[in-house]
Amino acid sequence: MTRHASLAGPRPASGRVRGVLLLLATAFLPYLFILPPWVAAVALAVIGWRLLALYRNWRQPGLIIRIVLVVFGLLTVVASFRGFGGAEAGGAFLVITASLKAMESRNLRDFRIVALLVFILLAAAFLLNHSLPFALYAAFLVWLATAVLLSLGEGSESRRTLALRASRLLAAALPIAIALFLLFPRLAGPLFRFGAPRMAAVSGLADSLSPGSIAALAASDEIAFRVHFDGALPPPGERYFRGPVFVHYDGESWLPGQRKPARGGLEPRGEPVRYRVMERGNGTRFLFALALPVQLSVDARLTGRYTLLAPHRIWNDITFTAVSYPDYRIQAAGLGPVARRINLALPAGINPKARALAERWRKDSRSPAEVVQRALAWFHERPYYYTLTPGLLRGENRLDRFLFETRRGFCEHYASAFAFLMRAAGIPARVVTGYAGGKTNPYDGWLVLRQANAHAWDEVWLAGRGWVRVDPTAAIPPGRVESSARFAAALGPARNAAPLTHDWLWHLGSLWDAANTFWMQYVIGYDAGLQHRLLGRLGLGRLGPTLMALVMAGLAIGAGLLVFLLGLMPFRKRGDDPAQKLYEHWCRRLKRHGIQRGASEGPLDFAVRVARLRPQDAALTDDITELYIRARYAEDPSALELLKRRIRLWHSSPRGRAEASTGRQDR
Amino acid sequence: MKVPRPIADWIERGTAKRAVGGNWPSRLNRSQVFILPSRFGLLAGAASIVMLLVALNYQNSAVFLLAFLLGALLLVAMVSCHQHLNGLEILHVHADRVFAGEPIRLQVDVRNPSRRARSGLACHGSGAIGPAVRVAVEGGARLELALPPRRRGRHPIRRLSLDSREPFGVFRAWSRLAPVHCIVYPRPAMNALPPPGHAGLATRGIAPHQPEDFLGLARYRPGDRPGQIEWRHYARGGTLERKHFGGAGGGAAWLDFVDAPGTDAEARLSVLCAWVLQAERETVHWGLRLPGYLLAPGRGSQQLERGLTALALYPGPYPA
Repeated sequence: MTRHASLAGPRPASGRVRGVLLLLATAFLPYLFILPPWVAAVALAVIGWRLLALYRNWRQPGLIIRIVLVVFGLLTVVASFRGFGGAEAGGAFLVITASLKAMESRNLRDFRIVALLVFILLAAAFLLNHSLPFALYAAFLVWLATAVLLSLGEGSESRRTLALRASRLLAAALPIAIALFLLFPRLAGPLFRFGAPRMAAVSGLADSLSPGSIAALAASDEIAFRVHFDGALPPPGERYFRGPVFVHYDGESWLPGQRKPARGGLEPRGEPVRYRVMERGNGTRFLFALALPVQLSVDARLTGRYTLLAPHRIWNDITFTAVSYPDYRIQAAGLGPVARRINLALPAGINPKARALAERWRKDSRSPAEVVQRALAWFHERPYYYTLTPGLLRGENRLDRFLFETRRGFCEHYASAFAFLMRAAGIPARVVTGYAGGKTNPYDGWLVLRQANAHAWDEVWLAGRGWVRVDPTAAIPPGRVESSARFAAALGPARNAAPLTHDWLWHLGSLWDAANTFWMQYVIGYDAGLQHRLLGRLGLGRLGPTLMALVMAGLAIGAGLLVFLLGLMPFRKRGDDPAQKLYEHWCRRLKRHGIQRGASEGPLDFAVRVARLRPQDAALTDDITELYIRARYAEDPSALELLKRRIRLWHSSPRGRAEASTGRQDR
Repeated sequence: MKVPRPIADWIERGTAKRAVGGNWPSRLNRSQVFILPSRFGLLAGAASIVMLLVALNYQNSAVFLLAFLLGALLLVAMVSCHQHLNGLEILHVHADRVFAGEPIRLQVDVRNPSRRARSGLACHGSGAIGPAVRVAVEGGARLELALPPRRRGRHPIRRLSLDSREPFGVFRAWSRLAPVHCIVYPRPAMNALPPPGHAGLATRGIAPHQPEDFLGLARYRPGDRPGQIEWRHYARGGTLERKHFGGAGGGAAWLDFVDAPGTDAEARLSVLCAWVLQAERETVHWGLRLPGYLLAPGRGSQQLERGLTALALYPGPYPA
């Protein structure tokens, strides 16, 4: 950067410099949360130093120190992010560079560049977090940066004026930006294949079901996905969204089997349900659809166990539509010998008491369905408690301890124990995880499923009916639920269908959530597909990308020209002032007599001319002119009253009537 | 990064052709207002394009929105910047009369006829930049340009223009003004000898009134013409005395290049300049004679300006 004063502009006043530095500090704040906090902390410290230097008149560091700092910063970033690729390392590098730029900035152009860096910092942050709260913060920052950039101009304006000017410029820019946003051709895939940026803080269902894995999610209010049904909301008992299915039990954890593609066996029955799902990027390949989906708008496949899998891990939010049949049968025709063996396998020798219990049920029952009923009744009648803090179960006979000693557990304990019991009783069974229940947002009608809605249930295979869903947790009566209301979600859909407290806070939360949904669906989720649909509605759907680009360029140029031409029009506020209105009315009257006031003719000059052309009206003209000037410029209310009367007098006089008739003749 | 020479020349020719001016007041129209992005503007444009590429690559709608917002902001800034000049009324362009050794001060009086404030208006010329000024809605302002001191003579102010870089400094809109010349008068000599005595001058004669007989000396009163003053007495250290003539008429003083002391022309012009100023201060009718130039006796600001201009332009050509 050149240091030539006349080229790079003068040094701005210290108040303006402080403005730029504080702006940059506000832009660093979100990085405290989206990157390791030390990055932003270092940057903020540098800004702090610069502010102090501003007031204490410290010298800015020389070239060598600056180079050392830049190299050191770079190396630190490379070392701590293990390389230079990826959005995190890029963001960290930007933050450090911006702070160093602010430190060495002296003249006007330097500070303008710092203000511009705020936009770039925001863009980098958006790669890591594009939630609505951050977007709102970013909008505020854009406004602030605009005002700060304005303040680096001629430099004598008050903060109020700057804020107003910034608002006006942004208000003019926003429609253009929105038009570009909607019309700029979106691509279906990335331009260059860098590593996809990871969204911060991913949580969701894991690839295995080990003790506590769902309990860890239960406390999280984070939204997993949202669903909007085209028709009525399905009843709570049908709101199961299937995730990974587990078939191998090793005595501690449940593990998934091989993921083979589905080979038929799905028999849809009843009425289809159409809906749209908006899923948060979670770093897994699982897509959550209502059981069981037959049609999808995204590239995904059903595994042999009817879990929906996307071809890649989902890092960004994804929206898709689907058609499901809540009433379905799978593999009702029969289970192959291999599948049967897999779904009956248990580690030998563990949990003898549970095995004995299952054996007893089997003997006492006439059909496997009866065994299932007995098991559910067992959980319902015995003192089993539902709790998030069941205490750690150890040893290889941990299910025996749970079933006969502690009797306190969470959905994964019940699902696990139930599957064990069924297998021991000779009924093929497996554990299914996913989300269940959910809550409808009254403001936009979307069903919201949070991480707290993560759930585990079972499927048992019954001859003639195929795999049947059984939810043992739901068998626990509400009186034996030992946790606060918000955890009740994990109990299963039937339980959390009962409304929680619907106070104003809840409504506010719902409203906020609806705004989030809109943001995620229509702004963040605005992609090639959505654009195609929008253009289709506008009748532009047939255009290919090239034509589209041309249309867009044309629209942009057209919009620019329109703004330009509007700017060229002489803006004259008309009729704001009552005195001016009256006066203009009088002028129009005179125009009928062929006396027209010139565009640049002042009222006094005009009065002289009127008096010369119409000597008989000279006195009244003088009166009107003087009263007009008093009312308009001296803002004298009594003058306005008098002016009204004089003009009325003009009308009522013979000249007014005569003029009215000549006026008609003139036409 | 500098604008390449041929392009700069091309822009210079194009804009000079459309210079505003000559007869004031004049209103800037669209064909007279030029606009180009500034270096910072190009940087900001590049930033928005990079952001757009990032958005395309990561398919991140939020970044798209930000990139378009920045782009749109630049577009709006362009229109706004153009509007700061377009339609501006230039009432008057005036360079203060200035003596050699003093900074040249150029003034441009402008008026804003529209209902939108215009900001960042500054005057450029001969490599100097004046302070930026805001012109309120339907208001007026004076733009000033200070140039370093120059030698005696007629100095054209090169590439005189009005410009605005508001808002954000991303664009520069400018209008060229017709060439303006600044006339730099000679520096008045300090402690110059007084002009030659009245008697010596009057006999050369175009004076309107012939003086009457010499009656003696009288005390100087403010307003007495220098021609009447007994300079020789004053130069010897005496008081200021006035030669008292019979009758009311006072002759015109002739200030002649030949009479002015000095080794070279510049020194003589300096002395003449001091004499002219003194004559005007004392409200004497005076005439000026330079080689090839004659200014008839008279007084007042017009006379003064003519005389000083002639001194500035020596050895000619002189204005008619």
